[in-house]
Amino acid sequence: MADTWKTVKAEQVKAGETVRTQSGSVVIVSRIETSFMGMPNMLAFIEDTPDRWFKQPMTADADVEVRSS
Amino acid sequence: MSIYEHPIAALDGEPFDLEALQGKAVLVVNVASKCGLTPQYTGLEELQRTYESRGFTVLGVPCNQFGGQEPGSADEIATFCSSTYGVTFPITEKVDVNGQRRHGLFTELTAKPDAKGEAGDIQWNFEKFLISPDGEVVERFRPTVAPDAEELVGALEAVLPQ
Repeated sequence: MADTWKTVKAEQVKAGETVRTQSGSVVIVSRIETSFMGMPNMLAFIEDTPDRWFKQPMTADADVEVRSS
Repeated sequence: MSIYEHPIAALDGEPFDLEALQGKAVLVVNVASKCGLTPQYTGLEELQRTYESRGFTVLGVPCNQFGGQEPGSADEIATFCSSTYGVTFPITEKVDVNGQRRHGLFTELTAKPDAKGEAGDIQWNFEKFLISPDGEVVERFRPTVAPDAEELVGALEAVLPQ
């Protein structure tokens, strides 16, 4: 069964979810950093898995897709 | 383990001799070519040219873990650095600086707290670690601290061997 994706605001994403950004980048969200680089309107998704550590900043009100299968 | 004992390759894939940096002050910086902070290369090269003769070097370490902003090949990174910013300081291979695959050099470096007392993960591209000539990590500067910031230059001058 194919994955389905639901559009939400970045600030609505929770740790444990998988998101796809507008650029097509897919991030397994291990944790979320608020006020990225001291900017209160920014957050960063952090993927911290055995395979990859990756940080993707976003504006809090940006649209992202959350995977639900 | 000394910071000089972690094997790392140069950008061209040949072994990089970290031990050759013993006796020098070193500013280790995780770099990226497509970041809003990438123009910091200009200031880093200025530091290199100003203080190289007094026993100092910048060491650039490319990393693609922050927004995927260092996606290129070694050749692409080398060409970008030399043609866009005239970089003369050494640049290593691309490595991980955070996470379970963090390079050993950065295991040592990230144990150093910043000015607010916070150690651990690197925040973003262009975080800077100042190493004294005897291999001690003496200062940690977060990415938005510019290479010509008074606090950075002052700390650098305080550890120069000459």
